[in-house]
Amino acid sequence: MSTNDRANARALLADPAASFLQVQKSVVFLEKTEDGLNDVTLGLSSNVQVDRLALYLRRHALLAGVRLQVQVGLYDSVAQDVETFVQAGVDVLLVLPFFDNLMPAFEAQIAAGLDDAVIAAKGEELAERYRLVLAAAHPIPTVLIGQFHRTWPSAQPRQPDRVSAVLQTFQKMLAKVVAEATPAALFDMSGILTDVGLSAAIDRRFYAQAKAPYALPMLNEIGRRTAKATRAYGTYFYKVLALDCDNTLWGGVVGEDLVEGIKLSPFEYPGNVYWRAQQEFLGLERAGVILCLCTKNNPADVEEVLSRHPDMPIRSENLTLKKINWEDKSKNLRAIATELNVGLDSIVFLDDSSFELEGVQSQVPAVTVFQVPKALTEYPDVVGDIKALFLAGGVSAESSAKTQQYKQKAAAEALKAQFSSQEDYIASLELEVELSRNAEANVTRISELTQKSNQFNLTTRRYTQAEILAAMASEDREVYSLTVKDKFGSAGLTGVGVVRYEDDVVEVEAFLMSCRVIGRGVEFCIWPYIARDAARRGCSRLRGRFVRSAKNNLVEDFFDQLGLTSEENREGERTYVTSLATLEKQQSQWIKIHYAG
Amino acid sequence: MFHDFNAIQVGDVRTLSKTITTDDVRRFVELTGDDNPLHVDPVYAETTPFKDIVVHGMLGASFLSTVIGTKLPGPGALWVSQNMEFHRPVRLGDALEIGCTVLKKHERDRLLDLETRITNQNGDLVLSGRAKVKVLITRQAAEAAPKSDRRRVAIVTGGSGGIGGAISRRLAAEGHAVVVHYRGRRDRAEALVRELSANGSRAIAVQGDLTVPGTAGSIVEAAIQAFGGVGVLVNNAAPAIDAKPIQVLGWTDMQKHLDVQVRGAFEMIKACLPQMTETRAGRIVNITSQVVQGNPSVSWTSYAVGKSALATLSRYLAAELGPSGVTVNCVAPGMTETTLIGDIPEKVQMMVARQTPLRRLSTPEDVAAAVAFLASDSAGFVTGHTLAVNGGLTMS
Amino acid sequence: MLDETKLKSVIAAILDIDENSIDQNTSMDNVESWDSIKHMDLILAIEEEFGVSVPDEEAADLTSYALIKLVVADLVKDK
Repeated sequence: MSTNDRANARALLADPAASFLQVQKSVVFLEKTEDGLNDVTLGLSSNVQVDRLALYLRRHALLAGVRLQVQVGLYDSVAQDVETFVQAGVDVLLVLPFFDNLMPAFEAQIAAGLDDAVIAAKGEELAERYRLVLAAAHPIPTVLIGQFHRTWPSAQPRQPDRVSAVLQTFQKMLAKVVAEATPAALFDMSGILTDVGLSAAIDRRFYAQAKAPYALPMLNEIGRRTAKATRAYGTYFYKVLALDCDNTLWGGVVGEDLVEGIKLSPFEYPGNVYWRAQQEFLGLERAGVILCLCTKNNPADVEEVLSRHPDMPIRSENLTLKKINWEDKSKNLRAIATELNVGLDSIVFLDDSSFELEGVQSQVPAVTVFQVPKALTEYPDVVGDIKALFLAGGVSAESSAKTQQYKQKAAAEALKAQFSSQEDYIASLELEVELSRNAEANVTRISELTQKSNQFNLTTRRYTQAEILAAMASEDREVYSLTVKDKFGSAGLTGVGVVRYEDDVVEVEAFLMSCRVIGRGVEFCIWPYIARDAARRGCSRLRGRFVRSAKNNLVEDFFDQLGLTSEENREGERTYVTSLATLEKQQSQWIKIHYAG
Repeated sequence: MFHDFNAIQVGDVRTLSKTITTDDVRRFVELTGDDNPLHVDPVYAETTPFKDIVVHGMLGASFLSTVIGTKLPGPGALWVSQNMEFHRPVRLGDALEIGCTVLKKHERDRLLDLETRITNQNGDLVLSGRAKVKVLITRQAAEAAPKSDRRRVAIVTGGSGGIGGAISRRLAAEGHAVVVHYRGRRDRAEALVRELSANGSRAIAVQGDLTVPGTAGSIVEAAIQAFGGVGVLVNNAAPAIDAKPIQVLGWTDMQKHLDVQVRGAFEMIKACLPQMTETRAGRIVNITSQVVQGNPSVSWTSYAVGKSALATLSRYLAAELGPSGVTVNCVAPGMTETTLIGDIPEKVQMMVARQTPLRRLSTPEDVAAAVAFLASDSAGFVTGHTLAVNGGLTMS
Repeated sequence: MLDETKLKSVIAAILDIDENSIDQNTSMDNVESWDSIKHMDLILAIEEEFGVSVPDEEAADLTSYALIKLVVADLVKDK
């Protein structure tokens, strides 16, 4: 199998005009021959026949470097399917309840005058079933439930018919049940259907003969959006949008056209295209995406636009970092990654210049790049794709305020420069740490942190929400969580420790911190409290482990720094012990610690 | 022992000798619980008029059971009644002779009147009595009915065509002399007869138009002339299906099928009957079709009406001729690979095959095998039945 | 004219079997991966690749290679 064959297959996968057979062949071929794929399993359940969807889920997974193994459930047996999937340990659950098949020819029956009581009973039965199903699906990390949609067009274009009324009721019901059951998320099938078009989306022949309703364009679109909604099955988690300026945020080159000459306006073409794009970027910022500039310009020129241009939606306060210089863009992007303490693979970079983008792609291939299209009317589509990357995976409430926190850090960095000694600086921060134990209210954020944290992570052990809850409830385990506040504001929940008591030893199962708050002693200050709790339980020693990963070199020596003695040193793993007494003596002079106990 | 009631004669005698020991008495006491001191206690016995141990009367009498059950009549005996008088006591050590004599036979009820006597070593009469014993019919007795003399001669109408030819060949292979009836294809019929003769079978070809009165009679006559009689009749002749929708279907089309399939079979059956009832053994096999019971093949109306009528004729005649020892059955083939289906597109043939559980169409040999079974001794108790040969395409 | 090589390659790709193993005897009875769900995919792919439309009543019964070949050849001829 030559690399040429693989390249051809990949091209076919990405080609929207590829035929069913070509997709089938390419998917099977690449799954067998491609290296470096992440393996992910997905459980698929529906009350109609969706076997063919598996092919399209796999297609879009492959495009994102994932080999997706799809387990198709039984027909119309969602409860049993979920039980099977939980036992099989699938990573993703996708449930697609089909409205028209809730009862035979449901939509037609509704139009024919099906009794209200019967419909209501059906709705209640469904609500109860999905409540139970979602509860049972707790161990599955990612759960997507397709929202109900219409199958047959309405004959009454001027007003909503009975079918739409019932559909809406059922949609509301499902949305409510899903919202009550985190971490499940609703998957907007109606939206997809609208985009694909009702007549193109439904295959009447196969629906009638075999209860397989979705035509190829619809299956393909579901596949594409599922990949987006799961952030390519967990392979990415973008945090930063780095923006070029000239011909990206405005039309023209500010260095040549000057502030007055650049094209940027709410009303006139082409300025309105850029203006709209900036509004979209601001929308992303509100959702928690970090905006940065990365442009080859004189700082003064760009600052002038930011402060003086009357129609500039994005202002300084929306930007966390501004790399405005004549350096290599790759160098700047690396700097952004370092300063924000994120991976290069969480950065999306938008520029108009092929030259710049090629440079970035070759020098920092981990960065995802987008190009402003030559045909400006296509720019909104590109912006849409960028938005999907950030937002399709959902937004949690705390993430929305992240930008603020990062900005605090940036300001703090600036402040740091003013102090001569590290200690003086840290003391000036007025650090306060609130340490909590088994704080159930923070389960979501705690679990999220264990999933995302790579660098300051001693064991890189990931926990689902269910696992955190289990640890909290357990007799001989504790989950510590800490929030950090300084004079710039709160950084939120930024540290997690999970310990396990075993006879006279307390084992540190996990200890991780958000990179925003390291280097200030926070990571050292909580151990006396953990030690005291353990001592009260009759322990006398603490054991910690460092498990090497690709990304956590940073904390190689953490336990050494904490004062523990090395016990065992193996390839990829180091164990440390200490007496609790040693730890209890630790003191932190400049951090005020609140611990409810 | 008498297996056969008929073999028992009035005056037949069977006897048994038995010396009575103390052990016998002990076992009798154990068995019955009758430990009356007269039978077991010599001291007591001495105080009675008998002076010495008396053996239980029933102990001696029980050997009547032995004679009746093992000798006269032996297996199959059902002891219906017994009366007896004890004349003399039996003493320990007595040598008894137990005998049964047939006094009377009641043929219809299979009942025997027996005289039962027991005498001792001195010739004294110990016990006398009368028994009535029934002789049951056993299975072996029933199966001992004589094998019938079935004539191994078969007439196959339309016996040189696709299915007919296969039937003729198969019956010949199973030892029948075959009369190959044909209407127009003389060359084909004669070639088949030559073939069968070359293989060591006996066969003749007989021409006849079954719609013409008298034809049936002459075919049977030819069979008797050549082979001495007729034992098997296979009504296979049928005209081409000639499918027509009702708009163009005429009564002549319907008549044609009725004449060949129904009347032809009817006349042949009547012509063969004297032969078959004479030997109380006959096999009539009518070739019908799955169209009789399966889903209608649209426009095959005249053919299906003929076959259905033939099927009903078979059932009625099976009921009527059963007592005469003649079985009447049908073989209903599915779509069979012969020229008859030449007009059916290959695609349809293949689709029928795909829908058939055994995944193929029927062959003439499949049909012939079913006919051969129904014509054989193994099917002696099968009548009024339709054996479907269609790979499971329709199952009723 | 029906391109038999192409037909075999389509069937092989959908059923995930070796092209060279397909012959007149190949049917749903002796190919494990050929079930009723795959059968629909097969009809879909054949229709797409040959630009024909298989009549609804017949589609479900085309369960052998021989029959598919016969029917598709007819459909291609009538195009």
